[in-house]
Amino acid sequence: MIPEDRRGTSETLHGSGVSLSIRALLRRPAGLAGILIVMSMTILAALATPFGEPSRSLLTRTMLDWGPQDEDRTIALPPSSPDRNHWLGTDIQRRDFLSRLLHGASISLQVGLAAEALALTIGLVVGALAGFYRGWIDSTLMRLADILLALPLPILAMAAIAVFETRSITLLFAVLGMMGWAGIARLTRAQCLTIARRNYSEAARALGASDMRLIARHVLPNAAAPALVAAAVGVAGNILTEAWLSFLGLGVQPPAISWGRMIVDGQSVLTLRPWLCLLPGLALGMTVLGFVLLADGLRDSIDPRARMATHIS
Amino acid sequence: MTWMRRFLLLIVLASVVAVGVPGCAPAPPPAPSTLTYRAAEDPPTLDPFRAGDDNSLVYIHLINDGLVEYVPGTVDVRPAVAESWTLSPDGLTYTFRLRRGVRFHNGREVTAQDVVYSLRRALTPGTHSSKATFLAMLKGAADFSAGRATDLPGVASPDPATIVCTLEYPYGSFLTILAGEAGSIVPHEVYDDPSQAYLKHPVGCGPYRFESWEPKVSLALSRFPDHWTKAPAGGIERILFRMIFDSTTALEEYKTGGVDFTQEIPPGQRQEVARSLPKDLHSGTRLSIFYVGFNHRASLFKDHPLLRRALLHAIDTEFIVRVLDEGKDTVASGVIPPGLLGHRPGGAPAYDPDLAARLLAEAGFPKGRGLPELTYVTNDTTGFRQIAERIQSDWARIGVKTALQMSDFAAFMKALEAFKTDTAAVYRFTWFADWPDPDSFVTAQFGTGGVGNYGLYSSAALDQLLDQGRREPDPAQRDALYRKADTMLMEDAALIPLYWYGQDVLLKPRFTGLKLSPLGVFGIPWEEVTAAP
Repeated sequence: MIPEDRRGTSETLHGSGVSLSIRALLRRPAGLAGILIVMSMTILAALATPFGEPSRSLLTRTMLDWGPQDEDRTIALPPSSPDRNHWLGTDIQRRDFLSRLLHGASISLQVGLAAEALALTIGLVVGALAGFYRGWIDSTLMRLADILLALPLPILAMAAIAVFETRSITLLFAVLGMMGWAGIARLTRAQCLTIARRNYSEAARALGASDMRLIARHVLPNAAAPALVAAAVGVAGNILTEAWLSFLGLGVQPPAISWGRMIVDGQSVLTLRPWLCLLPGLALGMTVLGFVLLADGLRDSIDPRARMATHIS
Repeated sequence: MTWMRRFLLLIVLASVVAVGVPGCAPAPPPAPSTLTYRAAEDPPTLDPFRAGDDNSLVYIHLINDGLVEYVPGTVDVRPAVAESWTLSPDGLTYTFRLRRGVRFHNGREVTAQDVVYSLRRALTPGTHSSKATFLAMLKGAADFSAGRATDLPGVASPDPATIVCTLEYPYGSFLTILAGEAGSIVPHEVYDDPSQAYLKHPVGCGPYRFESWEPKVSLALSRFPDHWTKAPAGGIERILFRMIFDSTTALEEYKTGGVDFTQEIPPGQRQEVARSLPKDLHSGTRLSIFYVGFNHRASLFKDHPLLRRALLHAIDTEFIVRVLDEGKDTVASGVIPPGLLGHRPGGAPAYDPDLAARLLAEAGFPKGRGLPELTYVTNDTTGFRQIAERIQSDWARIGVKTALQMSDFAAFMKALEAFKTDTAAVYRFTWFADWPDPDSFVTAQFGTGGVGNYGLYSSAALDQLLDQGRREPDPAQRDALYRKADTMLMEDAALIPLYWYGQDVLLKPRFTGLKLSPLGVFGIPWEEVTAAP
């Protein structure tokens, strides 16, 4: 017989549970595809992030002939078609399109991951506090979460951008992170309500563990699994929101490169140079699909019984 | 599947076809005498004295007439509701003789009193009129429009067929102002209506009368049969304006026959359109300028003319015009465009990054060191964004860092008004001549206190020159004075002129007789265009 506190969802994160989950994830085609896409995009984003002085990415320093801001002044009539020098041609400013496409991954992943990290942190803390203490703390925090869930994230982001009258990448992180935690908090709270009544929690309390220790060492680690799955979907949502805001001109500003901005720039020449619009769209779609597949695989492998309510905002 | 199921499926399919196909079929083509005109959006107003934007003016010019009008395709003036006029030798008094039998769309005959009423209304405070600056040269206009006087001695009607306009000083372009919307003649019984029904159903004496308006969908005008001009054979009887905001959608509508006329080719498609629709494309120039202005309140710009000059020489204007604007516009060599008194033909400021870098160093900012990050303020459209990125990139080549502040038009205008003394900002700006005179162009933008002087440029020497130019009756002298003003502005690098606008329109070849107005697409006299059956 399995002891009660070794059963259920939470145990999968402990001991051999993690490796078992990763093996299970890799066995599922969707999960494997998700991992491959996300890893590729993450590596690409890391390579595409500029550093040093002059500020250039590793991608530009080692592999590409053209940086994303470099202009080929020999081109008379941009946007040019693909050729030996520019495999995907140039944009209207005579910049190598392949280089810009690859570097677009950096902003998308940065915004997606950083904002979701913030949302995950806030969501876990809020959910744990609400589920652990219950009472008025629970009511207050969950009503706040209800309000955020009732409002579409892109609209909230637009409102925040209008209020702060700036369009920096930091603001995007902050806005998406501060407003995207509600779903995670709800999931975490539900888990905490169960875990707080488990035997090991009771035992820890009986041994004199403080509230903070109980939350940090027993409740949160066991409640985190569904939140991680939700966070993977959240990353996809953030990437889409960033692209959507950039498409509307409200996202990051040039010279930062965003796929959403590239789509809108290519839109006007869609019939003449369709790849200028379609390829950033495809890259965006692939990245989002990667995170959604990863979330799907994680959900199935970590907690096959869970029926998670997720959303892409 | 049983025969009964198949029978039911057949009935369903037949119903879908019967109902759906006629619903999906394109609407029958409009009658040949109808022009379907793509308008970007609803007019903000249909009151001629409030209007100042192209979206409104297109209707206002068709619904209303004035004492005089522009000769199609030019900025010359010819008689309209006035059949003739005389000018006193001192250049101060215009006497107009009213044409007999001119009627408003409500059937009433136009009288000299209507002209007096209309000009007074254009200057009356509290009517939301934006035309006080247009008619400021009328005697007593300043006090009248400020509410300090109830009498307007500059406009009088000694008899029912005569109107006398007296000016404070000779102003050679006075008639061109009357040919525009500020000179519209409106019926007092309609415009005195406290419910302001004229805003939804305007009445004028122009060649087309208001028919209907479905906001965000369409607005229709039909030819006024009692207009004082005779409609040409095959003339356009009805104009249906369809509101289509997006220029790409509008172009597709044009190609598929949804509209007969569109006035905006999406960025990046001009060459293709010129290739594929050569008979449809009509191009011309517009009395206008696109430039980069400096926030002259800031000591950074005010005290560093060499910095301004460095920034000027660092921009590859030729690339902007040839590539980004696909050759539609003309590289500007100064402020005053061709076609206006004071225009200086000649070369544009040279694109010379090396010279720019040297000037930047001389200004005290070698390779941009010590220079704060500049902010380039613009509204966010594809074309303006491309130009902003171009300038950002060009300035980066000499070491100048620039942040782009892009927003919608309302926020853009708000940002211009919020400039402070420490705002290291430059801004893109467009100016279209309200009437064809350098006074409407230079004084408004660079004269101290000018309505378009958002950068607060101020030069006592320039102001003096502009004042002289405004009051000078001799056209040759005026030309010389405004040339000097233009030279002065360029020598001081008060702005970075980029280009003078061109204008492109697409019109189905079955329409003939189109003449583009140098003042803008709204000035096209559609009453003279004819349509083949």
